[in-house]
Amino acid sequence: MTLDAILFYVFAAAALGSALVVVGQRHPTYSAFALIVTLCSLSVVFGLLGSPFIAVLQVVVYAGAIMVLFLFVLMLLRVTTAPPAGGGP
Amino acid sequence: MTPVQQELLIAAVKVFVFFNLFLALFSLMTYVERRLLAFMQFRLGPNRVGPFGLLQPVADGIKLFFKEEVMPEGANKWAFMAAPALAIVTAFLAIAVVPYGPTVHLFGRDIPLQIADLDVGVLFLFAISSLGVYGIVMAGWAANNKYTLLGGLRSSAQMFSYELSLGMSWVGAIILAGSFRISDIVASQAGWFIPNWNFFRQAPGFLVYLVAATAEVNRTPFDLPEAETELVAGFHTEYSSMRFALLQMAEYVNMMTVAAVGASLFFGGWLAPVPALQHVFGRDIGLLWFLLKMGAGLFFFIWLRGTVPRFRYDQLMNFGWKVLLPVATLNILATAAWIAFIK
Repeated sequence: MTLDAILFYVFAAAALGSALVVVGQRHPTYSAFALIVTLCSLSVVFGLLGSPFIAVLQVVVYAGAIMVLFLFVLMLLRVTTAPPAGGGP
Repeated sequence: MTPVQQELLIAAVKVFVFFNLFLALFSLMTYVERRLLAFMQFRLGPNRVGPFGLLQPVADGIKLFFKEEVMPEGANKWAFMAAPALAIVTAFLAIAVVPYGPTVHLFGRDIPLQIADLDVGVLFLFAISSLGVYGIVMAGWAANNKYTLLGGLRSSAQMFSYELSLGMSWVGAIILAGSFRISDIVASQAGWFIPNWNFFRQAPGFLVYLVAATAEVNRTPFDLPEAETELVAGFHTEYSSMRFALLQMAEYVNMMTVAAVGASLFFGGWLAPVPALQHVFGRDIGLLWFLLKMGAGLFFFIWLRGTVPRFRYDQLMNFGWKVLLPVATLNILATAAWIAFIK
């Protein structure tokens, strides 16, 4: 395998794995951090596809700006866990 | 070795050298900062360990190694451990795209003194600086302490507000050079320092950069995230031992990056102020010029810390959004108009 292929598989796996964590995790702050990992891994994949501009913008806009706002709100509201499913107490 | 392997080896050696150079500079900075601050306040500062106290960073390192690692009860374990690592990684990523000197000729090859000369170098810096906030936010949130949380919140709001101005202050320099590549921006400032350096041609942009960069690295007068009079020590209140050292290291490395980037974008990087001084005894001394400019930037940070008091939080926000951002925008408009209509 070439270096590009190895890097692609590593970061594609990281993107998919952390995307699964985003939807599977009950703790919203963990989900947010996992989403940051997803976005950064995607940016590496963009870079491997030969478009460094989109790769960098992906980090600047999504990981750098939007996710900071997400985290800001999560921290401000001190959300610890998601409400139990099925309308529990 | 195949050419690809050779390139990889050269890149690895460069990473190793610059990484350790910055680590050494960090330990030197902890000493120089305390010593200079002390002189500014008519004290002596650390002068006991070694000649002039020069071994003080070693003593501090040994002390921190043997301190107990304390993790507060109710802290989020993984986030608490990951935060300093995240902070240090983002701090060190940014040093990869800065050009430190001219191309050197070693072992029959031309080696540029820059780890990666990216086409999108300036944007890469912007991306890394926007990621830098996560280490601090995570550290503040994970410790489960109201002071650290307040420090983390403050720093995310502050870095978010000033990051925009920081990025906008570079745009004038980018327009003038016509490239995102940092080595091109350095090359566009060749010649006599007046009027060729961006410090002169982009004076409003430079002032915005100066303020926004100070806020971005959380230095006085923008050190609200760790305001010791209100928040104990802000986001790193609960950290001890080597994790505390890592957070400190991230802060200093960020400061050095900001000084290095400022030197490259606004002070001509490794170019001498007067072309005749670029070569001494037939050798290019670009690296020395670069270190000199970076050192001047670092001295300025220490000087600032010894001089000005801290901003109030509402003043900080008002200044960032109502003064800095409009000035940066007007600077971009003026530069673009100059390029479009006059030049």
